[in-house]
Amino acid sequence: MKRLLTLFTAICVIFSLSGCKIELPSSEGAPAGESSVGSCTVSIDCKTVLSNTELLDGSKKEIIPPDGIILAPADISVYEGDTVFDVLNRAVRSRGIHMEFSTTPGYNSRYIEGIANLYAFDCGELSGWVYSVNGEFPNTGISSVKVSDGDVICILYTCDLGQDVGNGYGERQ
Amino acid sequence: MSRAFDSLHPAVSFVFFLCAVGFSMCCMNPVMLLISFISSLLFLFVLTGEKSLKYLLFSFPAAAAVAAVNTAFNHRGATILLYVNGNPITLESIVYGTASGIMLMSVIIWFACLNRVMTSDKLIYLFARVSPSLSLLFSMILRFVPKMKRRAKHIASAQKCSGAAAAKTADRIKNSLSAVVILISWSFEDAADTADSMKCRGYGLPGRSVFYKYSLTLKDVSVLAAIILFAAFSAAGGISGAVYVSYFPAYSAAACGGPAFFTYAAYAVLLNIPLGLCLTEELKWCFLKSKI
Repeated sequence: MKRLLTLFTAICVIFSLSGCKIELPSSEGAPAGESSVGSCTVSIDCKTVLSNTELLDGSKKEIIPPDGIILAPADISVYEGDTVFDVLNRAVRSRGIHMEFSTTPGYNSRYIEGIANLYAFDCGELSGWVYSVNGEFPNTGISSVKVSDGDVICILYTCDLGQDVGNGYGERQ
Repeated sequence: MSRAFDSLHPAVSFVFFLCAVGFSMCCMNPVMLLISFISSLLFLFVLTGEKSLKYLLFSFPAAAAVAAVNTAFNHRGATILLYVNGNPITLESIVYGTASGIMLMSVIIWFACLNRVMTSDKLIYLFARVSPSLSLLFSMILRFVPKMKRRAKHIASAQKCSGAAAAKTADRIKNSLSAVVILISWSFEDAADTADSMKCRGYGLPGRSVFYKYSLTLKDVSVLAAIILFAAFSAAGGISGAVYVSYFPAYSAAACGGPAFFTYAAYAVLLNIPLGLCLTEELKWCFLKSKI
């Protein structure tokens, strides 16, 4: 019993030291005590899946919206120092849309693994989430691009390494 | 301990355990998981009595760990409960983790049953002709851990006797380290001894007879036929999709109709064949005793 208690305490200590931030779904993730410096438009869509349904993972068929739009263009407040990732995270949080990302600690860089349970590689081996800012596809990670007032951010699902959403990743080289 | 299942031909018991473990590992349907878990526990209880509770107690932390790890690292699922470090903790991943925990527990318990029923002589009987060295190795591995535990106890008590019991933590660590060294060298020596002695007896040579003579009786054949029949029914239900479940993105299951119930029933019968044999034997014995 004493051992179990020690083990439990050790786990609790490790858990609290690791700095886990636990939040309820209702919190929107907006920085406290800061006022917004503007707003931007964020939209999320997976229209490319509709024309590649034969590649789609069978268990994911029912989660694809009929028009392929997960989030219609929405106004999201921008705070000082916000990156595209922060804005996207705030957008999905406030609307209860599921999103999973991974973080590389040293660089604090984020990678979007899946939005609304649609994950990278779910629709063929060239599929995944990409983003564009004002129609341009920045060739860097989503957490390294700063957002300014009035930006139009599109989060797009590609089934062909970006070619089918207008990012000529292959052509450019 | 009931002998009804023990006295069957080793091949029959082996096929049963193959089915039980195989189906338990493949089926993630919650009803089938519960059937497997309860059946394995009941069978272990018949085999070992109160000791089965110990197995339950030991396998529970493993199941809880699986559930916790799955919840922490699997963020798929439609129902978001919490956010930890920005990533969602979903109801589906908790449910899936719990289901795989129960699956793990039932597989552990089936293996505990297998250990009781499939003794080393039965394993050697079954596989000696196929691969003598592998079957010997397999039987040695299966009894390795219990044997090691027994020996660890021996070494500890010997150390206590020789006055090595120490109060200081450093000394205690030193003692346990030397105990580990003794344990390992003892095991090596024992393995070499076993290999030598088996070689001396002509183990693996053609024409070697076995210690126990098992022959396939009518009872063995009928039990084997029942196992294969109900396994085929369960497999057919699984392949046809009657008991299909999917945990992600949202929990969904095939419609609960006749085929599903039929599969559940076949699966329950399959996993309780040994229990049924033991109980009939027990009842027959009581009945015969009452007539004396």
